[in-house]
Formats: sequence, structure tokens, C-alpha cells
Amino acid sequence: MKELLNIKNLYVQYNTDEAVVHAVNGVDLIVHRGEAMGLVGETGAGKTTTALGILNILPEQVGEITEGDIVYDGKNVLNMSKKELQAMRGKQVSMIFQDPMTSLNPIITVGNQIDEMLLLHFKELTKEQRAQKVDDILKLVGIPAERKHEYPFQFSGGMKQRIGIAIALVCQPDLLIADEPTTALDVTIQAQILQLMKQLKRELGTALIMITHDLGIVAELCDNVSVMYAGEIVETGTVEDIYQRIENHPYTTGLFNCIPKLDSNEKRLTPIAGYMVDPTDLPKGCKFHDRCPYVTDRCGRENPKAYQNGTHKIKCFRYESWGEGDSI
Amino acid sequence: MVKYILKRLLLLIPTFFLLTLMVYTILSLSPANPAFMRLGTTATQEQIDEINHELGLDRPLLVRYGTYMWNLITKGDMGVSWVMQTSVYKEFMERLPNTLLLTALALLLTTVVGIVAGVFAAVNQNSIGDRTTMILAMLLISLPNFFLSLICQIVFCLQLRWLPVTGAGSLKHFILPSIMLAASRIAGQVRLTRSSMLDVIGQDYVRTAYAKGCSKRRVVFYHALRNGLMPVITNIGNNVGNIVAGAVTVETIFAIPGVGSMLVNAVRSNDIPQVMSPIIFISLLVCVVNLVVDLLYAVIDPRVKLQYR
Repeated sequence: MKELLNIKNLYVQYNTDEAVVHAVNGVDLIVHRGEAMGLVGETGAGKTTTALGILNILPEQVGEITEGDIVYDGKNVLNMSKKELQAMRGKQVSMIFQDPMTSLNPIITVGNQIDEMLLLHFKELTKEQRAQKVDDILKLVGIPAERKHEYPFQFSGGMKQRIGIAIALVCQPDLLIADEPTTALDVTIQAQILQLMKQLKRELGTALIMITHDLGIVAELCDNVSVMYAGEIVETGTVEDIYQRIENHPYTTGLFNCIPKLDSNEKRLTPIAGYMVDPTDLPKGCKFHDRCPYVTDRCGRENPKAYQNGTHKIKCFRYESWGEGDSI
Repeated sequence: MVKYILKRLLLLIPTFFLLTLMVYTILSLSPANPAFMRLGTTATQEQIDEINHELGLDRPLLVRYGTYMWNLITKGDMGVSWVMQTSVYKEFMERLPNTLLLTALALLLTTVVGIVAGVFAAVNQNSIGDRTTMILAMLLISLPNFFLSLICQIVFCLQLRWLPVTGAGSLKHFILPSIMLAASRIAGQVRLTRSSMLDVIGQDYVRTAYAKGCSKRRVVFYHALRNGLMPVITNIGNNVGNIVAGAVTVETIFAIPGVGSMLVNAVRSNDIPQVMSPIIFISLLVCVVNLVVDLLYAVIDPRVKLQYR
């Protein structure tokens, strides 16, 4: 498969009045054409920040990419002109946002919001052709086309997220970033949305970055997984590599242990001890060492490199015997 | 929508009557006595009673109010000035154009300058332009209207001789007064527009617009502006009331023969019929403007429009 997106050694920080928040700290990520990559981690791990970085839409004056490159289809996003960026956003890389309640403009009809994508990126289409495409995409996401003249507040949460998906897909992008697309929805709607995304991935061959904290969603939808903690990818591999649960980063193991098991008779969940590290004051060495059950002296001094075994890479000294691999 | 407009228009009628009744009642509680004004303090009780009877002041309050409103609505008659014995209606109509021109100019200035500067400041948040705008707005809000007016009269009229000092002879006479009347209102409008736009610019759907590939200009004018203007439009309604009230001061300072200065003079001389008509005009204007604002709201926001079906 051809390489589509290559993030190299990305550092992002948010400069607030009180402190500097180190949101992303040296992320390497490669996504190939047609590949579905799951980006997993708890809240505040830097998943969304990484995604916003890909589109170069970090909050102005606050978000800052201090180091690294984001190469999309051979071109560095960080060096693109405004025109090039605008042409890329939506057309080649599009994004589904986390909260469907707030990510649609409340006073523009949903039809016009979908149509805007075509207006921006397919200027050669006539009004009728665009209207036809809007109808088609609405049908694809399961919303009757005649409702395109309605406003977002007239739709339910699940339907709004479908509209968000329709907006993201109407230009048939090569890469779709889905930022926790089901978090704000209830479970029955979640299943529908996932089903829909699976179908779309199959039919349109779009590469996908699925941002989530739900390991179940990843297993269902993705080819590869990267686990993020405190702005770093601590483990990456194929779904098989990681879900076999034989060799995992201690953090990933912790995430798996958090999933309640229906077949065993446990009374309590097994959470990961301690709290997420403070991104304004990151610890030295491995960021996870405070919470890690396998911690050694070395973990507090030195940040482990990525050790590689085939497609599976883990940033933990326990796997040093695998030998050093490419950075993650 | 049409039904809603009709409903609102109908509601104006009781509002208007209640309002005028309150004003009328309050004014009739004042110790002003027209008989004393005409005859002096040496008048006998018979003379006083005679004049009171002639003016209908010996009748009950509600009857007087009813007569006043009946005459006002059917004949446009606003009574006779106690002091000058002239028709209030005639004087009111002579002065009305000046006030309308002054307030209209001030409102236009407030709205246009306020919104343009507010949007500019918000879009260029924390830039030098933004900071300058905010400091200027702060200054304008802090300076009392009359003080600023006097300073400007000295500088622009007496020193530089660009504009006439007082009077209402030509459009040129209205330039400085309308700017002075608008000044502090502009400042408020700028600050409100800026904060409202900043709020909208931080919304998720603005980020969505950027992610779609919109240019900054398209994001600001197509996605953010209409959302950001909603609280601003409400403020325009409030501004109208404020500006008309402010016209009272400005008309006095610049010696413009308008409804505002008529009100001040009438209050000073306890001339109740002369006081009534400007108050009725101002309150009616505020009622109508607020109705227009509410309707504008529905035009801009589809959520409001659907409620009004």
C-alpha cells in the first residue's frame, strides 16, 4: 500500500496564560492509502490535537507546532500556502468531529452545509449537479433527501452525526479523520454509525484515522492501532498484534483491564492506578512510569525507545530484547 | 409568521395604553397648578376654581385621561400648553423632524461603526488594531456625554471652525451632535459585538468551517457573522431607547429645537401637557423598535422563526 500520511516527530503545545501545555510530544505515525488506523488513548492523550495538526487547524495564537513534519501525499502540510491548505482541507482530508450537537452551524440548512463542500472544492459542478450529489450522500448516510432544507436543531443527535459524516464524505476524501464520532451518542446509535462507517470504508476505499478511547470500536473497524499516552504513541501494531494481549505496553494492558468482562464473576473494574500525568509538567523518563506496575529505576531516568518485533512496536524497556525499531 | 406579527401589533395597543396611563397618573400627582401659573400667588379661590374647571382639572383622573387619549387618537390633539397657551401638537410637530434626524443619524452611526469595528477587533484579536479599538471604546464609555460634547464644541467649532456650534439650520449642524450622541453607544456596541463574535469564533462549527476548507473571510462573513450578530441586534433595540433619551442632553447642549429640549423646558416649567407628548413619542418609538428587533431576530435565526409559526 502507498504511504498517504507520514507524521514525523511531531510536537504540539498550547500556550496559555497560566502554563504551556505539552499536548503532543514526538509522535510518528504513518497511514497508508485505504488503511484504517485506530488512535487510542484516554482523554487528554493528544489524539485530537494530532488530528487538528494534520489539517493545520489548531486554535490560532494558542496551539503551536514546535517541531516535526506532517507529510501528506508527499507535501509537508506545515509549509503549505493558505490556498493549498484550503484546497486540501475537506477535499483530500476531511474530519468528523466529536460533538455533533455543536459542530454544525445552527442557522444554515444541513443541505447548504453539505453543499458548501462541493461549492468550495468542485467549482465546475452546476447547481443541479451539486443538489444531486447532496441528495445522494444524504441517502447514503440514511437521511431522507427532502430533509435537506431543515436546520440542525430539527435533527436528533445521531442524525446530526450522520450529517457530519455526510459533510466529511461528500467530496470523497482520501483520508477521513473521525474524532470520537460515537462518543456523544447512545449505544444503539453508535452501532448504526459504526456500521455506516464500515460500509463507507469498504465502498469508497477511504483511509481512516479513528480516534477513540473505545478499544471495541477499534477491533471492529481498524487494521492497525496506535496507543497514545501523554502525547506519545507508546505502542503500535496491527489489530492482531495488540489484541492478542500477549505482549503489550503496560498502559495498553491497563486499558484492556478496564473493560468489564461479562463472563467472569468480578465485582469491581480494574482501573489503572494513579492519574493521567499533568501535561503542563511532564515527568522525566517514561511518562507512564508513575502508574506502571513494572516500573524500574531506569524508567524514571530515561524515555524508552521504540522496540520492534515485526509489525509490532512498543516503547517500553521490557521489550528491549526485540531490538530498536523505527521511532513511533 | 404573519400571524405572529399581527399578534405582536395587537399587543402594542394595551402596552401603549398602560404606558400612557402610568405617565399621565404620575404627572398628575405633581404639585404643578396651572391656575397659579397664570394668575400668580395672589389669585382668589374662585378664580382658581374657574380655571381648573375650564381646563377640566376638577374632573376625576380617569375621565381626564380618557378625554386626553380620545382627543389624541381621534384629532391628534395634545392639549394646550399651560405656560404659553399654544397648541402642544403644533410645537411637537415643528420639533419632531430635528429629533428624528438627530436620532436616526446617531443610530446609523452606532450600528454601522459599532458592528464594523467590533467584528474587526474580534477577527484580529490581540492585534494592535484590536487593542487600539478597545482602548478607544473604553475612553468613550468613560467620558460623560456632555463633557465630551463641550470639549468637541471648543475644538472643532470654536478653534478649528469646521462646524457650527449650535442650532439646527442645515445638515452640517447635525454632524457633531449626532456623533456625540452616538459616541458612548458606539463604544458599548463595539465591545458587545467583539465579545459576541469572539464567542462565535471559538465555537465548534467555526472549526468545522475551517476544516471544510473555507477561507478566513468566508468563515467570518458566512459562518460567524450572522450567529454573532444576534445579541448585537437585541442591543440595537436598547440603543434606540438610550439614544432618544440621550437626545435630551445633546439637544440642550447644541441648542437644537427638538422634542428632547422641549421635554426639558416643559419639565422645568411644570408644563404637564408639554411633558406628555415627548414621553408618549419616546415610549411609542421604543415599543415599535423592539417589535422590529424581535421580527429581525426571526429573520436571522431559523430556530426563532419556527417558534413563531
